Amino acid sequence: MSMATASSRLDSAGMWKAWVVLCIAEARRMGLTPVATSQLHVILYLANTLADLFYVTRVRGRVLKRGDYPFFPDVQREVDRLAFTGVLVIEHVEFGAKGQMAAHYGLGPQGAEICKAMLAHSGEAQRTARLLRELVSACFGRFLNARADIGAVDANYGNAAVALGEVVDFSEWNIDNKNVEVARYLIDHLRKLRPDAQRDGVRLYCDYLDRAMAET
Amino acid sequence: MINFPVLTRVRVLDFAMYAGTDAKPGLDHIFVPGVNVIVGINGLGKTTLLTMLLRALTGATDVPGNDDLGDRRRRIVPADRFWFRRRAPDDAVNAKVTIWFSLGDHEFEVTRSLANLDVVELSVDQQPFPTARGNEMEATYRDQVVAASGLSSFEDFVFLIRYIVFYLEDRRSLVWDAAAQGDVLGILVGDHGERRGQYVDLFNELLSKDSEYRNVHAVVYKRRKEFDKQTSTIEGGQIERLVQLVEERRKDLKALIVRKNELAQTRDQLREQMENRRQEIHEGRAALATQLNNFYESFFPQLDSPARYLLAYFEAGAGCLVCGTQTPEATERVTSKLYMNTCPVCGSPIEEGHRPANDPHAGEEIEQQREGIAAAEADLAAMEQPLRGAEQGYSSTAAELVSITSQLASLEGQLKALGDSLPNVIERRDELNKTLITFEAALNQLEVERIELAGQFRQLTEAIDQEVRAISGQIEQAFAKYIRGFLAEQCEIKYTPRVRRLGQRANTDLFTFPHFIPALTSGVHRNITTVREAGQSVSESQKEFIDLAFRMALLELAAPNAPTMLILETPEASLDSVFVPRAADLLRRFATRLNGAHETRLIASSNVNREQMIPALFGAYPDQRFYGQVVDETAIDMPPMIPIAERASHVLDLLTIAVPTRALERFRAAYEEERDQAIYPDGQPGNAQA
Repeated sequence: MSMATASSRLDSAGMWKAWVVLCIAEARRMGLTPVATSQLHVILYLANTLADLFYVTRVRGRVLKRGDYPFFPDVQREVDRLAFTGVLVIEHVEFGAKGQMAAHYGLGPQGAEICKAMLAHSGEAQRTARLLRELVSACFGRFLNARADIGAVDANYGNAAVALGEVVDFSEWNIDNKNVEVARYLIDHLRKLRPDAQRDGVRLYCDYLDRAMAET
Repeated sequence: MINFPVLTRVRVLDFAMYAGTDAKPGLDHIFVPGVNVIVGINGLGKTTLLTMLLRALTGATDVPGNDDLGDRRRRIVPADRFWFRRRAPDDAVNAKVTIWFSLGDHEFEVTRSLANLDVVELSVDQQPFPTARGNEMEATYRDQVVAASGLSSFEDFVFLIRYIVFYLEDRRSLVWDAAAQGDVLGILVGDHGERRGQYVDLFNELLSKDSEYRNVHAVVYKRRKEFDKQTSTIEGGQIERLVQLVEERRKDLKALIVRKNELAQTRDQLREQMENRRQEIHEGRAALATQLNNFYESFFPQLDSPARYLLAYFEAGAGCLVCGTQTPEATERVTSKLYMNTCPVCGSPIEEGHRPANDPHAGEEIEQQREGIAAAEADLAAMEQPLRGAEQGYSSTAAELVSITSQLASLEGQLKALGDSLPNVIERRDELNKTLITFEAALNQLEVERIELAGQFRQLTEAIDQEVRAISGQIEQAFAKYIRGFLAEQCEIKYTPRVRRLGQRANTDLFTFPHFIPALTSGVHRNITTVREAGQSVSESQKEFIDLAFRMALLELAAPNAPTMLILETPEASLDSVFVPRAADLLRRFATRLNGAHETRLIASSNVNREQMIPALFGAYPDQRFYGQVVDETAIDMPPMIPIAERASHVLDLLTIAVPTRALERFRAAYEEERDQAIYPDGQPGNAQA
């Protein structure tokens, strides 16, 4: 038997944890917990792709294209650790895709306090919370409530030029972030129709995803 | 044959300096054959009178003297036309000088205004020329003089007057001035018509060509330098270096881009592989954990799903999700408890009925899964370092790329700037090249012309050299005759033509110019004749009389049976007491030379002093004992003493004629006594009166 070594240490682990806690906290605020693992990873992925629209510093600019939805395998262990250290709670475990165990997470006793502290002291945390709030509200009320398999319709993940098993690089080593391009296109397009309306790119992109998902 | 002017009379009217006497106003004097002495004291106008005689002959023209002659073009230069006017309080408005002189068979009478030196009256052989404008009269006078003298030009006449006939205060040298001597000899020998004019023309032309050549050459040199600079900029200079640098930087850039792409590819591949390994590890653990969950569910049915989740993932290798521990020891500890059928948390024995249907630790499939995960983890760990290396390499290559790109941009900028100016540079170079070709053609043309002129000039100089060489023996003999008895040392003059270039350019044609060099016997080595060529090696007095003897020799040669004339200013000026009688004898011998030249005149100005030059010139040196001591031998051609009764006619007495100076007014009696003593040391004539 072999154990994971120090080399598999997660980069920016603290930021990831903060994003996860803020995400679960926002979901809880809207009464949407517990959040399934797949839902959590989709929200984290979308938050990373659309971070520029909310002036948030993204944690990661890449994801491996493998499976129906974007997933950060190295982040998952930290999510589980948050659950067993009382920040989150695993409200139940179910067997999801391929019959594998998948936890559904709620906010643990310490999680609320941690969120409060973060939001009180960090502008970046506030912007991140707002981004996650928009995403949670835009996705959970729609497609994400039932399905997390956005892979085929997401502009970055579904890019036909990236084969399965290849890395989708949306802002790590290149600047080709198609999700943002789609969001901006939608903003510009709608602004032509109704110049005075303030448009939120995150919501517009999620609307697009919802419609695209509905058609698949 | 050349005829030299011989002054017979001078008259000056209305010139304030020479008031004359009530009975005979102004100055009117007849120069008698032989010695004529202008007697005076300082400030009475001896120099003015001699200058007046000179200007009466030459007009307001002169030739450059001493160092100014050299390799200058041979031409007369203007003399100060108003020199006399400035010396008269009334501006010499009405002042006139008239001279009577013979020139060969012709008798001249010329009157010039002392206000401006214009010829106002002219008669030749008692035939007056009609009065005309100044320059016309001057031209007539010059034509008549040239015709009568047998010279080819008035310039030559002035040249001979200044370098042979007159020996004034400026002491123009002939022996010691090679340029002047060459010219005088050239004038004196051969025919005096066309050839002399041709000689002067060629001489001047060659000097002009030399000067012109040097001027054009200087321009060519300057243009050539500029041309080379432009060419260097275009062909071997900055542009080429910049282009080379740009090429090098472009190569560097290309190599860097290739390297960067390679590194990017490596990095991308590693990242992709690592992401896949992570996914595989996760999926492997998830699958394993699902199987283990089944085991825990049957083993610990009372455990809720999160607890089983915890244990299953622990068993699947994710480590402790509570504390984060992932060490092999911790895993071994928990696993061993399960092997011993004890609780993995508290270690209590597990009830019999809860044995699992399948031992998860013994299953082959599970073992394979574990091995797959371990292999993926090992892969992942192994790729971590190469990825970092590739990332660092990529970053530094990218930075280098930026640097090279920046250098390239800068070089291209410089190149562009040069490129923009390149057409101008090329245009300028081509323009310079055209100019150069033109100037070089001009240089070649000048050189061709110079060579042609030089050929003609060489023929002339060689002819002159031959002619002078042919008569050089006579000149040497005549010189020896005059100088003998004057110097204490033996003195000869040797014909030693000078071979030199004309102008300042090196490597041009050499020409032969006639030249005599005096040779003196050194005082130390009496038996050896030592050539003393430079004027500085002889004392001033020796120098002057060697020069005079040479002039006398030339006059004798040029006009062997005709009268000539020498006009000297204070010959005693640089002589000591011993040389005064010797010098006087030399002059007397010239003044009274025979062979049909009895009309020859020597006019010398002299101060009333006790140097005894005046009586010595009359052959009446007062101290015969001293004379006997200092004069080696009496020359055969020594003229007799001028009789007392005739002496007055040999004297132009400025003490009587000139407006007296303060000194003369105050000491007139003393001066007059000294004068009489000088003229009549051997007794007053009964009617002797100046």
